[in-house]
Amino acid sequence: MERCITLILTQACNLKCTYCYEHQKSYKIMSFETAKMILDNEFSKSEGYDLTQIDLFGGEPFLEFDLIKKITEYVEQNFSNYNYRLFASTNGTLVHGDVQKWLLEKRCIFSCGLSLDGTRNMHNTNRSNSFDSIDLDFFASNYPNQTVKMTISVETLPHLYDGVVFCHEKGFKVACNLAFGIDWSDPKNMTVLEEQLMLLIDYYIKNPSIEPCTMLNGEIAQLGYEGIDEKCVKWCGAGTHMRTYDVDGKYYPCQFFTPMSTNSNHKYDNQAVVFEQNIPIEKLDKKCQICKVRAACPFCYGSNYANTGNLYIQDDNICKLTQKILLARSYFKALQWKNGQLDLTEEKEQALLRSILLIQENLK
Amino acid sequence: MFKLLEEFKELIASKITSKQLAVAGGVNFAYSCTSLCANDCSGGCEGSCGSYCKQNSAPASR
Repeated sequence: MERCITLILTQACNLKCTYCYEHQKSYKIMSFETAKMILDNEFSKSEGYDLTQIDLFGGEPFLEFDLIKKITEYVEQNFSNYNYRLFASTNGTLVHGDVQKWLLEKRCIFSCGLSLDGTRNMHNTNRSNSFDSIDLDFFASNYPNQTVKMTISVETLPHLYDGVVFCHEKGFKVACNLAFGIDWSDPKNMTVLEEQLMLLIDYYIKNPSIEPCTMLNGEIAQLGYEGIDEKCVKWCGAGTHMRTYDVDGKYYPCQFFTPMSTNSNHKYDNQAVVFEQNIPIEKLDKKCQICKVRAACPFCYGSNYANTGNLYIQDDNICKLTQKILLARSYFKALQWKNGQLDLTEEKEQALLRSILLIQENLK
Repeated sequence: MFKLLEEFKELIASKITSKQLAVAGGVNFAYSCTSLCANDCSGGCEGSCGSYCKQNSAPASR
């Protein structure tokens, strides 16, 4: 089993993205002493884990490049008996020259994920005109299996298709997310999303060798198994296999629970928040209790908590979006299946076909 | 949009031949960030979510 330890090295960022959910940023940084203490403590509790992923996060982590180097060196020197990997999520603007040189030297243990919001215009609209500050070729050639994180804002939504295709043409796989705050009860926004997803579906059907963006490629076949609707299992490792430490060394289940991310009305209370692997269905919102596609809903405990103050209550706006994406996904997978573009075992195929019908019958 | 035609749904239904498998029958849908994360946390988790955002582009240390 893998686990992920996230260290927030700095709350500062050199960009000001329009959709950023980290509203309470400061200039605080994590000290090397704090990082060492966290790593010593975490590696002493490695039993049962095959791999420890150390995620260096921000703000923009490469603002603290010296700290990144020190932490990496410390891990290499002290935890060589463990299986580990380091990772940094970055806006890419500081990854040049010496940083690139160092990353290439450490490529066997250290990788980077880039935030790239589509074409130059899309990216510049969302991300402080930073497109030309990124060496796209460096990321595409050195981290070819890593998806770029593409966030769509209400301003760039009409160009979703162009942005995804642009990223593919640059050699990237794409993890595509819709930013918080887009009003999905507004039919105009939903219509634009539908049109853009339909264009993408057509593109991927015509280009089956390209790995579809995550929004369309996500799994739905679990819905095709008997009894799945009677369970509600925890999706991610927040609070268990994922552990996040803020700049001051304080622990949080994931970065969504940190003070810079949460709504000030929903401050994280370590004692009050308990993560359960099998969630009692009665703890869910009424709409989720009766939802037929619940097992395919990627509900995020952090965003639930930040938005509603409750781990298990999802914001209605996100629910509307999720339903639309699942419907689009079922349609896309049906076309892929019909065209023989899916490589499935017989069991998986049967589960997928059932799931497609289930989604088609229950969502509109 | 995204609704399949009735004929297409009938075609799919006609291809469902085997008995529906139970979740308990060897399919583990308990926690599995690596295999089940739906890759669209809808909020831009920016790589913090265990395995999904990180595609193992660097080999592990050993």
